[in-house]
Amino acid sequence: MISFGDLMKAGFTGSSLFFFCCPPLSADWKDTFQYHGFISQNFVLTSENNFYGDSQDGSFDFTEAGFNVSVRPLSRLGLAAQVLYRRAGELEDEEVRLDYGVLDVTALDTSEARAGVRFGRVKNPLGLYNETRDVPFTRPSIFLPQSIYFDRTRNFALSVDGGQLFGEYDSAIGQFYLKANIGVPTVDKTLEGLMLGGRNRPGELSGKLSYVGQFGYSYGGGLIRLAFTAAAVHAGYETGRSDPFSEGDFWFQPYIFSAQYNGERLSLTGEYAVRNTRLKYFGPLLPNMAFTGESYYLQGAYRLTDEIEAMVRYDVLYQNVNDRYGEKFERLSGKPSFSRFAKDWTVGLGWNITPSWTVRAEYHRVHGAGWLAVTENPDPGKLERDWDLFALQLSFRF
Amino acid sequence: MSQHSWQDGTPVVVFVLPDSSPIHKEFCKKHLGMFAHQLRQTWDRKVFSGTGQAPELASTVEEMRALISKTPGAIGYLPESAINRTVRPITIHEGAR
Repeated sequence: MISFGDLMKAGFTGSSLFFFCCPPLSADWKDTFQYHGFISQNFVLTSENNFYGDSQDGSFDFTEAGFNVSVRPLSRLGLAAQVLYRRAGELEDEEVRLDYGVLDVTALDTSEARAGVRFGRVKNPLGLYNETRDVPFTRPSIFLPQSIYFDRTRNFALSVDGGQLFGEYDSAIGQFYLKANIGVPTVDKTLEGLMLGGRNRPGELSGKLSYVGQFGYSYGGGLIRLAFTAAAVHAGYETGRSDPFSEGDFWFQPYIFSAQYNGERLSLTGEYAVRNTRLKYFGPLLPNMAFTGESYYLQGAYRLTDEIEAMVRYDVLYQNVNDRYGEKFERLSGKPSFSRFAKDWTVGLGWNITPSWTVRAEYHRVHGAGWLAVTENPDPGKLERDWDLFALQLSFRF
Repeated sequence: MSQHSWQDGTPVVVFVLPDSSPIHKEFCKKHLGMFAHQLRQTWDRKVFSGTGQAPELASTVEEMRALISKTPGAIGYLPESAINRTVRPITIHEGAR
């Protein structure tokens, strides 16, 4: 990321550009008011298995829209909020939600360092894409690599209600930053369904105090980006009337290593994640368990022109590193072994028709069903191991 | 572009030309040491995560000059040929704070 300091330090001589500023009057805070938004409509077609709706017949049940406002009433005080609408087949219920709503207090603001606190609902900095995962043009493809950014339990890791400490420092060798979130995550019925095997349990799963931290480095205004993310996201189950489960605890602890090269034409991105999941005290129906999953992807994108970009990606997910191909899982549960991993080759093409309108197309060849949702594929006997996915997206921004 | 205020506390309002403008591309490359699409991605990430604001868009050089001259706390860039008395040049030195 560049800072205003970089701008101030930038060499001036020998250039045909000159910098100008206003007459020296005191600024009006109303001039800092901004609004932005986006909407996208997608089409998803699969050869087997369902993803974002009844995709084997072709699904239009994937729509995203967002609208945000921000204002800076004082130079060290900012307010920002975004409302998000999402329709995602049977992955989750159609909803309008507050995506983020923050009061930003900058305690330190100099040309080389900034630090402060954001209060409210803050997005979790998990990997390179989570904070803007629902914004089509901030993604490299229609679907983010599902090994790390799985859509089937997305809301749990999306944001926390609490706060974020942030700091940035521009050094001679690049920018270093730190973000640390503390708060309560949003838990919805999709997590409950995945964990407890059904959405309509008598009790309720609710978020408990959780932590997400990211330390990162950026060189040359984003030419090279490196980040390390560590998180401990926590939820608890409160029992209801004649509940088969007892008051259990759920922990999700991912560690993500991220690296990106973003050149004039070529971008290369890779992320690697280790994910620890732990369930405890749910009672005899759901014995205590702890397992570690592993995810990684490598992605290349090439800007053929200023408007057209092509991408290719290889994305791998293992739900359990001690049973990578699910043989043990199949023996114990009778469900297919290939629902415990997925290897996904993706090629895609994006075209920015105008600065506001973008179309994208992509094709996935997937081996394994590791990131498909039970809500969309209720009969494990009907899952197929090798399948194809084709998607189209039209998006508009302002 | 992360800094919010001038030294006297006046909020900074940044104006840029469209991504496709050769003047904007030159500004990004020569003065920010980055490509226009990197600047766009950085700003998009800030705006759509609630962690920052975007620069204001000026469609043409003439509009840029008019907006800078009438907006308090504004900063932007202009080619030499577009300079007149409505805007105040600022000198940018190596190592300036």
